Amino acid sequence: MTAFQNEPLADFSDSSQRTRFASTLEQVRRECGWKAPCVIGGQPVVTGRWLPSVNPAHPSHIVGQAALARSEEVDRAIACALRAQARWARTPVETRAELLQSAAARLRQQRAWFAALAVLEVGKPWREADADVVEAIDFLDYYRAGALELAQGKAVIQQPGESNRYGYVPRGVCAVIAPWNFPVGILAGMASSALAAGNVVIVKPAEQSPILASFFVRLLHEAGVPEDVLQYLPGLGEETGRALVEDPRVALVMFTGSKAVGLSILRTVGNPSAAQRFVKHAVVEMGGKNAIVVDEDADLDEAIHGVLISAFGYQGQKCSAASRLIVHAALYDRLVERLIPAVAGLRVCDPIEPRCDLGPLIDADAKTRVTTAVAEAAASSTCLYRSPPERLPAEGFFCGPALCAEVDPRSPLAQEELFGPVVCLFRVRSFSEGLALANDTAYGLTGGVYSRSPSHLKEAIDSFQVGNLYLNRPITGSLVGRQPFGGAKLSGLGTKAGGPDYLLQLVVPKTICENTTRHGIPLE
Amino acid sequence: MSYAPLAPPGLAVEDRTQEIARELLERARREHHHLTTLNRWTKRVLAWSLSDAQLKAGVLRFIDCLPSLTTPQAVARHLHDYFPLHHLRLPAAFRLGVSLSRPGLLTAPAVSAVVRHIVEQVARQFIAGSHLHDALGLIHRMADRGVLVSFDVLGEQVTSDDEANTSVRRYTTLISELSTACRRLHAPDAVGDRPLVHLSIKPSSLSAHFDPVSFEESVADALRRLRVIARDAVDHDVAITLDMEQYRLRDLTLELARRLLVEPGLGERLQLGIVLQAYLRDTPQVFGELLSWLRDHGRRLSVRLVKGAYWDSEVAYAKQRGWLLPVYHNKRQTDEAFERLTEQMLSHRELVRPELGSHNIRSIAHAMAVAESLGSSKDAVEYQLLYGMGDAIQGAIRQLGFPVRVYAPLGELIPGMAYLVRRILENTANESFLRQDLE
Repeated sequence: MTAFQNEPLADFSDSSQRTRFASTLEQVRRECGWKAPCVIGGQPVVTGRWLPSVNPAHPSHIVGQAALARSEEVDRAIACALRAQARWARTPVETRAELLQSAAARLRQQRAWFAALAVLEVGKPWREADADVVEAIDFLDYYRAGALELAQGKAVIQQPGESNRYGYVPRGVCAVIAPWNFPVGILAGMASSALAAGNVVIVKPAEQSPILASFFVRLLHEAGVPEDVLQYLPGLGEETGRALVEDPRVALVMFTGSKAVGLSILRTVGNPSAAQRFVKHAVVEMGGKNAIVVDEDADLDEAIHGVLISAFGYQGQKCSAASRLIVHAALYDRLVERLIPAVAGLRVCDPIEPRCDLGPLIDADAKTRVTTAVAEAAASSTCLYRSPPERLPAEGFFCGPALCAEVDPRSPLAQEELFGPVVCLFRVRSFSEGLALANDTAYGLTGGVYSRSPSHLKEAIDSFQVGNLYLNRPITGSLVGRQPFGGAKLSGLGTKAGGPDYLLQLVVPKTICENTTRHGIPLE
Repeated sequence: MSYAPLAPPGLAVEDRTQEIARELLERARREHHHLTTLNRWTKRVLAWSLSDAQLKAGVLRFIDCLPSLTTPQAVARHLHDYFPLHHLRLPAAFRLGVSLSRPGLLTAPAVSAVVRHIVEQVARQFIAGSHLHDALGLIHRMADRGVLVSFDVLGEQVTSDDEANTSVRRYTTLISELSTACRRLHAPDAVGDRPLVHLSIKPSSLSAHFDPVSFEESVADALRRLRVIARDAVDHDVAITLDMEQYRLRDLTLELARRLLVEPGLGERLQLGIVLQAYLRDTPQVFGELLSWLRDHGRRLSVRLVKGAYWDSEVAYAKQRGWLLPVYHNKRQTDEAFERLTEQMLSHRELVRPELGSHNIRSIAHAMAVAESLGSSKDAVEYQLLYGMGDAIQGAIRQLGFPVRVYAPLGELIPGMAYLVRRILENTANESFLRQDLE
């Protein structure tokens, strides 16, 4: 078994990689129209209700349809998982690690195919789609290595006549409630870590990306993950998700998504039902209202580049995305003067085209939500830039980038996660004022600083209340094993995906102390 | 022009390389005594800056951010920030600046003025200036020494169409104004029919979307603007070279050159150049393909062979993404590749006009020896040096009768210095250029 190494990203400056990806896209586009039933104990289960998954750039194009699980399927899936739990927990960690390694190898072979499907199902531009699949490969491999290490346990104090051991055991049935914005990466991270740690997993994919999830689950099964150890249960969050979270047999809930749902999961988990025989545990990653603070001595070229990537990459639909830009007054006008034409030049189009800077938003609701917020901002504050509607593609959930200034820092636009390509700008008189404003939200996921002042960078390190702080670089694009990812405050519980402590959330420590003497006579 | 060999034929290229190198070195040493360009004070500041790795990083980083500091207070604060420990070892002028910036001793405006003055003094050494008369003055001063000039326009990164259009206007204005002003100036002797006015163009300054992922669109967007510059260049008899930037932009840049060369009514008349970087592993292959293309299309191109200035950033960029390094791992491999490419370039003079961008005496002497062994005339290769660096070598090459061109940045002094420093920060090997003049 080898040490973890990050999977290389695709290099689209290489013409052969471009050509290959373009033809894969075309191939996957023709293949679309799958049906994804529930998979319980390895058996496909059709429920009679289907949920269409559409291409957000062309909503008339159906990528596939997923079965909607009913309470009956939820019950069967949990029962099936529960029966498999003890056997999976006893499966040697080496075997579990091998299965994940084999899954990583399969995904490496199919990475272009999965990335192409991500372009079509969730509207990711090429590089974003590739990075999503690369992250999935990384997670599989990282938690494979991590599980082997975890199985060594930790050293505890020993004295003559007793043997003290400290190790970890799985929690039990794990519900993985996955988001659509990293439909392969985050799903793979949550599912593979839980499996690696010896838990059985029920995947409840996001309503918007069930087809990618079904293929990922299939890939894990093909790699050798036993059929009853991994169930696929597409459905609505309100129904299937809620049922899984509330079921007394589910020991662990892994969730990435909105603050509202995350907090409601934590409330449920914190109120054990009479039927429960353990305290549930939840790993919850919620949103962000992430800020970039631009100091008076910032490198403007770098700052503008970083803002474009951080705020508009994948249309701002990342929990790490920048939605607030806090700029020192000395630099504000110059930055705005350069940022507006740069944003106006971003190309909003079907992400199947490689030139795409911004693809569509995920669905009609998202489009309505963002468009309304921008319209309200335009009415109540200075909208520095809005995409002219006539420049947006006629079909699809497109909503171009927007910049708003003079936003009331207490207003919902400045405080609540919008999950779209909208940035609020703030002018501050000092760096300290900028940091204070950056900290003035309930969230604390990512944060960024552009400054060339060593003392200001230190001030940011000391006082910027975020889980991931980025200095003089974009605030998105964390890599497994290099920038473990997760938020502080109301963004998360401090679990760090792709970090050295993550697996600890998925297990319970167990201490074993054995008396090694009989009547004072050592046994060995 | 025929060329009489300097030594009896039959001597191997290697022997001649060493012989020429000794001669260049000898002449450069003598030249060095006559140089007054680097005043003693600038020398001291540079020597001190490079004396200690941590200090060097501090100085370079400080200069990098200096243009962005709009108030004297900001300058004073950054001085303290960057030099918390070194103030006692600062040269007198700098030390004055730091100690006086403490409350009560001297006002921040005075400190700021002192520091800006120092950096401007240093910058003047390497940057021609920002005005037309600065550029013209340099052309004249260099012409008196028998040296040609190529201008590189310093500027911010292009992030929007507006900025790309602005950079086109800067290039075209420079072309028409310089060529008009130089109309009556005679080219220095012994440079053949080499163009007097020469501009280096940064392809990334021609498009806000110069990204290989959308290759066709990127080429089309940049070409749209490059065509305007190229037409003006043809009309005014100005030569242009497409600078080579990061590896990921290399194929885009070469495609721009090929498209220009086949542009109807333009391609046959344009004096176009490109740059090859010897530190890239695949340059020999790329050069071979380019030669075939030129042969097939009946075109000739100037080729500036350089070692490459982005080594550290290429390594970081590739390693962070898990890619194979596009550059050679050690300098020796680059030097060897440089010599092989020199030979390849000189053997295809029907297709390329060779230009050698190096300050390394060995590399220069090798090119001279190879040209000699091929029976080429002295003006077969144009030797290109960076303005303000290696003036002694420049004089030595001229004395031997070879054409020389200096590559001079045009721009505001303090922001310009920051751009130069960024180049230095990107590549620790670059500082050897600074050192050369100090020895």
